[in-house]
Amino acid sequence: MKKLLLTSLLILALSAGYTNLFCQNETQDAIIEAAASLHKAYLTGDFKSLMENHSFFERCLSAEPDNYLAKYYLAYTEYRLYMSTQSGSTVSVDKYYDSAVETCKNILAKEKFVSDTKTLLAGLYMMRLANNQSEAMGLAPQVMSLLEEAIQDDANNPRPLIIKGVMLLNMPPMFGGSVTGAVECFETALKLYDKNKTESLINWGYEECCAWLGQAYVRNNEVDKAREVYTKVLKAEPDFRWVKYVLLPALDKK
Amino acid sequence: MQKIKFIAAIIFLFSIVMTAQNKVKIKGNISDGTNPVPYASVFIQNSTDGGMADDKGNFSFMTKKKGKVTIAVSMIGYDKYSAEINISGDKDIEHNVILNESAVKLNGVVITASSYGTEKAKGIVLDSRDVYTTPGGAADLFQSLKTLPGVTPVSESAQLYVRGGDPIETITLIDQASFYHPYTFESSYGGLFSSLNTATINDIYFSSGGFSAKYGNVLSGVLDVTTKDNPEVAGYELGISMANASLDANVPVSDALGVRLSARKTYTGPIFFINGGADRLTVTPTSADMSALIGFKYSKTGRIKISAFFNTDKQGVNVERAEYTGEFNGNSTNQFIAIQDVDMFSSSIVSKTSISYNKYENDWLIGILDLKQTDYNYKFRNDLEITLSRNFRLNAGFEAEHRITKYLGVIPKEDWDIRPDAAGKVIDASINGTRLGAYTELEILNPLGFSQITASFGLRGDYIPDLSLNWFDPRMSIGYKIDDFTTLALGLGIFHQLPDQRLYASIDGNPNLKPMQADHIILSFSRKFSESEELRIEAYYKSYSNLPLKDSTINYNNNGYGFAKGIDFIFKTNNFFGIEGWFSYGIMDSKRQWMDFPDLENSDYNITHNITIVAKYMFNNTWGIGLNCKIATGRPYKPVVGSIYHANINVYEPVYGTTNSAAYPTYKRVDLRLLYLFQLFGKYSTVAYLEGLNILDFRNLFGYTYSPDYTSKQEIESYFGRRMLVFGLSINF
Repeated sequence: MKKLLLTSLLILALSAGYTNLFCQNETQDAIIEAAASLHKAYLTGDFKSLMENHSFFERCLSAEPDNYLAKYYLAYTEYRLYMSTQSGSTVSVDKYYDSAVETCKNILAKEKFVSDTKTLLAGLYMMRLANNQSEAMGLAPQVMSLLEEAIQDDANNPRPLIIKGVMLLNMPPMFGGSVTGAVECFETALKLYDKNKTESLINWGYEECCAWLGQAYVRNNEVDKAREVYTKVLKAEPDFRWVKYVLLPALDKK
Repeated sequence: MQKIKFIAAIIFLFSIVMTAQNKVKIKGNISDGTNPVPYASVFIQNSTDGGMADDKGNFSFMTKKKGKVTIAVSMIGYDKYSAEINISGDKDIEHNVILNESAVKLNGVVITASSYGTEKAKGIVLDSRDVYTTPGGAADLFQSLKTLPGVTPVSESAQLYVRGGDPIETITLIDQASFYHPYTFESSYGGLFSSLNTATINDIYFSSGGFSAKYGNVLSGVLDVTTKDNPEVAGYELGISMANASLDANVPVSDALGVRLSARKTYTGPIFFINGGADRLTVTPTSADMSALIGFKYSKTGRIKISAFFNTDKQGVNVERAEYTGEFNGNSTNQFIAIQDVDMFSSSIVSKTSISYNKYENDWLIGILDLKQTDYNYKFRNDLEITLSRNFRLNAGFEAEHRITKYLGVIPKEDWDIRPDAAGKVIDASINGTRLGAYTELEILNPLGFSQITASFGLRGDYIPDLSLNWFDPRMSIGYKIDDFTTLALGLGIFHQLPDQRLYASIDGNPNLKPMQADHIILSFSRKFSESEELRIEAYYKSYSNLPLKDSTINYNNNGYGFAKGIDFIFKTNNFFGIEGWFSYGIMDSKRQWMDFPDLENSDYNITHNITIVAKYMFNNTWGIGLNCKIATGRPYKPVVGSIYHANINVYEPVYGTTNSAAYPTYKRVDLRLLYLFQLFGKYSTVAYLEGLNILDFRNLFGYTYSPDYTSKQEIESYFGRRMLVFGLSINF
């Protein structure tokens, strides 16, 4: 009976402070859960789910304006939205870029998640210069330098290596692009993913790294290696649309 | 015991009820007033209670909050929304939201003919990478534009001769401001390079005809340059070559304030020392320029940008003429500053306002000719872009420009006798003029429901108070999308421009000259074969009227006329078997009766055939090669057929044949560039290049020099036209 009484009192106490507790104690778990959903949304190309997660992170920040993990993921969601928003959209996609860059700078000013936030900022700049060639020659070295800093800040973080690899793969060789360099970055990043299997608060990029590595192999005419890496990633994530519907079929045509 | 059990049960039930009690549903719809806004985020401020609207803009979520709360709605591209609501009782609350767009945009792009730009919306893309990597272009904007089909290579000069038009018929605008002397090393044969540093350019729009009503007082071409905004990150670039040294610094001072500084020094001495050709030079051509861009974002939508350039150059060359051999000395300075404000007045109105000042000074000295030209330009301009709906946009603007051109010095009385002791005329003229211009233009997508059609209709008016002159120019453009890859476009319009300021001097000109007129008609076909390959073919006809024509009584009248017609072809690829580049071909016929032409004759720029091939290829990650081949019909000139001896001054006067009835030999030139990429000190991205200009050493004539009695002639080559090797480095750090 005493147990029943105690349980009742406990539930009462919990219910009284439910909202605050949700924000303070459960928000982090909820963010990590949302990050997993966001990851899935990216892999499956689910725009609606990306927007749902964007909305979720905004609500988290409405409740806890200084939650830097929520800020990071809000910026990361906007990075994905900036990348995935198709032409013809009525939405001004530059706003995603501006908002994400501002958020990243805000996180860096507080020195939170430094390596990953620098990586994200570099990724945003990379997308910017991809759309604005006039900035490419000036911005590209700075993106690379931001990535080098991110690598120095955390040598076990594979994500700066992915963005660096994408840069090297897509930059014209005359401005420092290098397929060999890109392959090296992606392969090292994959090794780091294998090495650091423990869960961390920020965790994305493995599948993307495989997709880019495959493309780098294709550029090197190593079609078998590309197929191997695509197959491997599809085994882990069968719904990875980019590899399933774009990269692998393109490889089959070769 | 029973009592305790009862109390415990009550507390348990109460606690359960407490956790579930009083949840209220808040629901509603989010729209922009007409259409639903899907996927907006809606929540109670300072809480996690909320949700996301569905694809029809409907939302609903539960909250336990009571009393007055703030409901917030956020969606990228719309202004943030918040409103206070009162939650009482258990009933559902319905709250509908209308969001204001932070920027209303057109659903597509209005297709226009003859456009090139850095953005896909502006036609065939020619971006700054093309400018930097075009061999022979010396990373010079104007030299790179000369590889386009509508721009004819009249000489080695950087001046733009657009579709049979004189260079003054093409205007250069920088951040809305007019820039009338965009060249360095200007002589009577034109300038050699752009005085605008490529490192400062963000965006270019180049039109070789049929352009919008936005552009006034120009007949043939428009080069509209937008300088760079605030740098995102700090960076520096050092360039050093046998021809110049440059340093660019990008400094983001804060999130709102950013500075870009560039300094460049051009020195041609080492080039001539290694390649020869210095024998004709008395002062080795050198130039120096500095530029500063300062940007300040004073609000989320507004920013002010100050663009300032300063350029100075000098050159000296031995000139051989029939009557005189002597030294030509030229030097110039160019100062430009523009302050531009860009802001949004509402979600659908963008305003761009610019005030600018430009002062250009030029001294030419050869024989009796000793002329100083000073050109001042003050300008105010405002452009408004009003997006009326997703299918309609109204553009409107106003400009006021005041120009003062001063000529001071001595000019030869006869152009065939420039000896130091020849007869000269003292010129001390100041030509002042104000022009007021206004325009309006309606851009329409899907008129009358025809989704494949885009159109724009514009009208501009200009007024010259000093001359009590005014004119109106109607212009239109219609685009038809045959399919996703193929478009047809038609451009029509009337264009007016005042003749060269020089002709308004009362001493030897006519202060009452009317504006020149050109009527354009352009038909354009373009097809995209892939994202990286595009073909465009354009046919054009341009008729000229009111051109200035020599007159024995009033010096010049407006009875000149002419035409230019032709076909331009360009195929651009970013990956043709690994090759990046373009092939262009232009065929043209241009005739005029103007200035001192006695009849309708070939114009000075009637280059009937013009082929350019630009190709760039990387062998591997380190080595690359670039090629720029040009072949064009020789430029026409007025042949000398005899001479008259003037015994009193012991000089022969040439007797000319029909104007422009002879032509120089075919113009041929191949520029080659070898690139080597490496990391300097293992850290800094570096490009080393070796450029071979006119590598096959084709002899392209700059002109002829004649014996004193004009019975024999000798060829003169341009001193920048001979074969030259240039080595350089560009280091990013």
